[in-house]
Amino acid sequence: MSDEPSAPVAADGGAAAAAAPPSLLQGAAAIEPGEASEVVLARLAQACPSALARAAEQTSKRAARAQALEGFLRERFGVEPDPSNGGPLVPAERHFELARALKEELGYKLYVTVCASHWPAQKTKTGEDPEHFELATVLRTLGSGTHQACWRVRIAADVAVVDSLVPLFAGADWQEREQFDLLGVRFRGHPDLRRLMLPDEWEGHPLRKDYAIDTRCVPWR
Amino acid sequence: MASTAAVSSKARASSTEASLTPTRAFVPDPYLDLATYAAAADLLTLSLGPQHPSTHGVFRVVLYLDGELIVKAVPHVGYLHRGVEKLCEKLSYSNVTPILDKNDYVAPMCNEQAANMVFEQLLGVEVPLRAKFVRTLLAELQRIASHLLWLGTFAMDLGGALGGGTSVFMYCFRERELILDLFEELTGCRFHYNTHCIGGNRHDIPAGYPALVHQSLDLIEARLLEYLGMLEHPIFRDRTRGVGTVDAELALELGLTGPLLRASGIDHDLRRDAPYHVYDLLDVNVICDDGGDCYARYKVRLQEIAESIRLSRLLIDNLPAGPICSTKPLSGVTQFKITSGQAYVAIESPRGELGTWLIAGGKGMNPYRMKLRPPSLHALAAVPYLFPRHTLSDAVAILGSLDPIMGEADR
Repeated sequence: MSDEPSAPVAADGGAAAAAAPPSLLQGAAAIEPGEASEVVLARLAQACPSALARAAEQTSKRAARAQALEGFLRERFGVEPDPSNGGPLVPAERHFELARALKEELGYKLYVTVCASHWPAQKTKTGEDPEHFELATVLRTLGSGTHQACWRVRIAADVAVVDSLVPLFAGADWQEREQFDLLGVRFRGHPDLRRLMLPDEWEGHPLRKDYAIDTRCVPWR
Repeated sequence: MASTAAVSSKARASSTEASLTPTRAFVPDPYLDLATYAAAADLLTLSLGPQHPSTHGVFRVVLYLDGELIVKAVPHVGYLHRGVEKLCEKLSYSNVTPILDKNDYVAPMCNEQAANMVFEQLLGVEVPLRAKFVRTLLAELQRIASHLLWLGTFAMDLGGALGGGTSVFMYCFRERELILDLFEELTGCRFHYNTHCIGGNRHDIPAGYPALVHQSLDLIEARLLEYLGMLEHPIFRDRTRGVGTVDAELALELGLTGPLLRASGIDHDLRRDAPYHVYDLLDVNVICDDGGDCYARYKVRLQEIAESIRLSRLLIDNLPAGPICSTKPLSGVTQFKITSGQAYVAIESPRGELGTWLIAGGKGMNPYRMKLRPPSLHALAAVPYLFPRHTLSDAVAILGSLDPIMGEADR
């Protein structure tokens, strides 16, 4: 392993080793050299014979799922995949419909997360982009070759309402409450839309871009 | 005593357009209107927490009790909300890592890893093989330490029946200390390591380290049997079997992941099913159990310790030579810039799927928005479904078995 004086290994097991000082490597400036990567990979392949084949099988499974999802989105929702932005932009009024189809038809049964973001009005090359929110949702299939489905919806800032996924996934309850709390996006059909992290009488929504990190607030009683 | 099954509960999805057809026998209604409860006048309201020792931090749950049976549980989180996501929007990409160490303070290695993986994906930075091995090794060691802490606190939650309660806790902390010593030897820190960076790791494995790892793992492995001897007796089994049962369907709906999902009989583990780093080279045995109760969660976690010990040995015995980091040493906070793109990357932390949704934008110096997906928050969201129909003392066992870390849940 190394030419350094080897660490004292307790011959009698338990008590002596537990009592040994923790700084066994004090003064050892050298790093553990390691072996050539080909040697290591060959040895691991022998120790774990099925690992590589299984990984390859899962990669192909995931690719097939990704393709099926792409085709489904193109056909039913008329959107192109947008991998560099996490997922495609879907019309907000079809948010619930898409989630239900993914859960019931394509097997994306695990509710993973939801992430809202605030985009203030800004000037672009083609004109002005008004203030809006974006809501990204992630679902996942289970077991071998798990694949995550992500999509985004754009929500106008003056309404700031989108369908809730609580009827489909009970776990969406707290996640949507958190997004409502921190960003002020409202969820239509949510059974219990209250603040989650902040006190009920808190003013403002901290993750909005116009909420400065040093915003003064009334000291909490 | 009125049984909660006889309660005329409001249909959960009555206020929504589309309702889910009920397929299960009975799932407690978390939105139960107490006015409709038959014995409403006799209910006792009990606020458990936020500073109760069994709440593992600052978690408060308001319990409505009929005698000793819980009718409804209303959890309150947020006592530890520090605004980490807002803070990340002000920090440069290289400065985010040490903040996330404080997020899940029981498994900081996995938090660093999750954040750096999403940065690397958007930057297109490749991690060298040696760093991948080291990261995987650290994650597995961290899983052992985290599960040991869970086992100790869970045994303490169950209390006096287990030989005074704190015995298992002390033994587990003794073994966890061995792992923390290993981390201290490598990084100089016991908790907040800041060892992962974009493109690799900051600390390389020192000479003689593998012998130390083997020594610690041998000790822990030998003592796993001692825990079984301490815990496997009728009182422990009676207090955990059939308590807090989650069926597979509910677990999925709630977004439970990690040991909680596997204890409900679903064979799902990102280490095996979506391998990252060098998990594609390893045979990860995914441990499942059909019980869905506290006892199943205990069994799954205990076996996962043994599995992690096996994987750690494989990794430390097969350390490849080569560079530990593919990027230049950090010269300033402006070194890494991501001007556009969004991504979600997840890893299997000791508590389940730990993911980060990153939106890059603006001038590219800091994240535009960073959403962390803490498995603990999803676990706590199960409380209103798990507590009803159990007694107050069972509630403590159920909460303990969920392994919530409030720093991570509240952020």
